[in-house]
Amino acid sequence: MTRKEVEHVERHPKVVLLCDDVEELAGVTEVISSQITAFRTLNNFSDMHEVIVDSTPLVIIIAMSTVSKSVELYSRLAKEGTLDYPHENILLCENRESGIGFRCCMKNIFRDYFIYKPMYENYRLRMILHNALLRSKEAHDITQIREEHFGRIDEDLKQLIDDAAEYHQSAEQTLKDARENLDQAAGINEVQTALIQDLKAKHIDPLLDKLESQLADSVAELTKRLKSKQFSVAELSALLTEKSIPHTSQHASQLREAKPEPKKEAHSKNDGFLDLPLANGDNMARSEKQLRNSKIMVVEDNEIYREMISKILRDEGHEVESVGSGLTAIKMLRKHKYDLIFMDLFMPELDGYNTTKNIRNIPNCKSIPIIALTSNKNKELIRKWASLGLAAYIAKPSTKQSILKAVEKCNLTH
Amino acid sequence: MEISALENLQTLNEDVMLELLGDDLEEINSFRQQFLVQAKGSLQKIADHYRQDKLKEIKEEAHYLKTSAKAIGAERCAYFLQELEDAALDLEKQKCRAYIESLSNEIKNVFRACNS
Repeated sequence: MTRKEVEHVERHPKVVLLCDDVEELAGVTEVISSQITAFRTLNNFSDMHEVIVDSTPLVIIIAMSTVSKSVELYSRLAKEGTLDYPHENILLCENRESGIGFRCCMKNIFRDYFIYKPMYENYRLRMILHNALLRSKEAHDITQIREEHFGRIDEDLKQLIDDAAEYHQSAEQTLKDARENLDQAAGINEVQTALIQDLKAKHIDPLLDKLESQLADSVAELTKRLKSKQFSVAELSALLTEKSIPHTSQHASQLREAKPEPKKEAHSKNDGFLDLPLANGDNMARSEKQLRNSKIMVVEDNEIYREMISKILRDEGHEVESVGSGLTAIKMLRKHKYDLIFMDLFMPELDGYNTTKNIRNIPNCKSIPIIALTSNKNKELIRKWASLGLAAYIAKPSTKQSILKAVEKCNLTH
Repeated sequence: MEISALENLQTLNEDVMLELLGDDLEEINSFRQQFLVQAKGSLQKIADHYRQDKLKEIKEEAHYLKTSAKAIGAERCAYFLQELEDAALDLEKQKCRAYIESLSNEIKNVFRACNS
């Protein structure tokens, strides 16, 4: 089947039909296109990948010649990170495989299934599609609103923390000026000057000391509470995101996070993959490139060490993004995909343990490998941290060799 | 690098950065200069915290600077920072003072070693 023969070529489809034989699905495509015009049929893996990445369609319908091929295709797309967004999926299968289709849905691989061969109930397919579109759109809208809403709260909290620090600085300066003015204050004669100094030493200095200390404590307490709220907001947002994403999308995320197979096996699997055209080598090249250029996040508050680790990883061809705090890491991980995280244990605001705890609540990050950066002294803490799932730990400052070995251990290097 | 007895440690162990970054001397020098700037700022903060009896903040700042001290191979600096961290954690203000002074002198030694 060539591109010319594919009839439905909407540029940014909301629904895609992935199949290996378009002719077999002529009836199905008619039914779908009568329901929605933003629809596209795809039968080439490279196109499937490209269209899904570009358009993030709300509903993905898979109709390969067998259910196992449909599952295989969906898994492959998920493993490549293509399906890492809220979506609904529908399996189309032949009547003889209805039992397998049912079991796939029970296992949350697909949201629903429909028997298209023979097709008796085209209105049933339209109903399934209608409901899937509704659910997917709702999930999409909720995610968007939540990100905007929580983002705004987070910005406000950040502003309040900055304001508190600024207020503290300015109040401290006022007190400092007052002290200096008092130091310079002199009376009209020696007796009066002595009296002023006595008054200052006995009453004004202690009062200023007390004010200064109360001010520092109050600002510290206020900042602590605001930071705690900031953390709660991040945690709540991650939790709500997890709840609103369909089970099938979560299943896709889990497939994506599953460790990549060794290169040799991947070759043999791809060679016979679904009988789809792969001969141009584009897909293989892309897969290998993805393995080589892993996207790594470095979370470390010390900018010098952070830059050193980043440089080592960049020199190896990895794409590296580095952040200085756990809160920023959580925020970025909610928006972007990473293959691996290097994380410091002791960081201000949120330490490595609590950051990891929070990260594990983000749907795409339940099993993302985390390499701990720490000193040998903190074995007890590392043990506690390891209970959240650590891929490795590196004693600072370590060596280039051991850093790259730790990456290799996560099966990310070529 | 394990922080062990002071007499076994170097002011600037050049092997540490060679093992970490390779032999790009320009890069190594750049990181060393960055460390000196960072150390100056951190020491200032530690001194301020000491004057205000903020031992928890001293511990945090010492821990922060220790990471880069270890990374550039400033072993003796890292040692004093670890000791300072422990003293601050134990609320031993007098010990903190002694380690801050030692640290201040050691940073000067690192500066000389980096620019020799």
